[in-house]
Amino acid sequence: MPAEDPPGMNTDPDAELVLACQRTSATSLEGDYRRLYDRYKDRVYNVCFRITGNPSDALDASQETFGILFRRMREFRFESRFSSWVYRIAVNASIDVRRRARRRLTSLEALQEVRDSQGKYDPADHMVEMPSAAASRRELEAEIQRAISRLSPKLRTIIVLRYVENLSYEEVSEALRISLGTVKSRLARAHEALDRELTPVLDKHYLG
Amino acid sequence: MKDDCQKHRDQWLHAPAWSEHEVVCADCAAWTRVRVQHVAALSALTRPEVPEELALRVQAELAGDRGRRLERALTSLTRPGAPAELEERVVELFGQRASEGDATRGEQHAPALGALDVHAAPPVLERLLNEELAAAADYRVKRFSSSLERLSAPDALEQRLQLGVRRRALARLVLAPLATLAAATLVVWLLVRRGAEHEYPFLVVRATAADRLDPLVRPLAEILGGVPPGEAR
Repeated sequence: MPAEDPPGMNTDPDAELVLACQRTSATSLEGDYRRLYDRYKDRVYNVCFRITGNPSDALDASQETFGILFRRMREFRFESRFSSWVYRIAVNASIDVRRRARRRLTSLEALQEVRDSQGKYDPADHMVEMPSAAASRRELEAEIQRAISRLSPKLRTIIVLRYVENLSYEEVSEALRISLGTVKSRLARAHEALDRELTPVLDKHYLG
Repeated sequence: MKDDCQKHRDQWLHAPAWSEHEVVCADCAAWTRVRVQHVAALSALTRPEVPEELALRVQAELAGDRGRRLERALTSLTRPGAPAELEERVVELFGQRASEGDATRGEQHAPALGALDVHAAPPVLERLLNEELAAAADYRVKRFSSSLERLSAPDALEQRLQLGVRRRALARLVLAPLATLAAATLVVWLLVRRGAEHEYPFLVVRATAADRLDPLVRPLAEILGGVPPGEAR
């Protein structure tokens, strides 16, 4: 009698692709591995960028994330959603990279990189905002990113997963392997910290 | 905080939505407005463009290039920070007090530290090293035995020594006279005992006339008897 599939497999939208990857070894970014990479690259890079605070570290963290993901693909047993597992690896890799990078990058360089990375636009696109508005928005986003970066790793992670990636309480709980109560309390503390860090920035931007 | 307020805030964080509580509670209404601003700002953040380099890096790693991973692992080694004591020692070394501000102190330390030359090892070091390698065990013993801690005598030792001195003094004061007394008693006893068992070492003779005495003692008897010499009694 064949073994039963784990209960999570039937409801996981990535199950088919993950199983396909598990049937082969990852030796190159082709076929099913390429499809999986394309499906998750934006989410992974976004999380890594928001947690590390700069593109260079985000690139390192994203590479680390996919490296771990593909090497350990066969260890995944659908005990949680595949997306939760990916987020967990991305968060841990980002925190790790940021910790290492803190010794290398000065805060000034980090701010400059955040500024430089914001909102590339094509001047030929007639739907783009006026340069002054775009610059203002880029500056605001840089300020918001700085505010996020000043939070502790735990609070920063909660904010990024909940509001930047739009995960629900349950998804955050599953991704970080913490209880719903802990999600709730960390989110409340994160908002209190953002009161100090983000509210003055928003007030300045909206009120001029 | 009131229960209603806590309940409103918990529910809002879980699933942001308007509630009637905001109408009756100005604090919670203000709290909610601020949170709405936070959420709006965070949710509107532009998704950064994924650099093309990421795919190339992932491809390289899957193909077996572990160079960057190794580099990341090595750079992740934590560097222990210099202890605060180091600065104090440096200041003492150059005879300066650390009373000035950071900038001044830095200016003073920099040339002083820069003056520390890197010295080449003296030639004698190689000879000493060769000698040590030739008799490694002996050098190990010498090196480590000289660094053994010299222990101080415990207080109990002094107490024991004093007790021994007191005991010997007691013996001298009491036992010696007793021994002497015992010896004297033994001698006297021996003498008395000998006197009781043996005859006197002399002979008692009653002589009625001097010419009956031994010629050797005759003069002594005449003197003791008060008889002029030559005359018998």
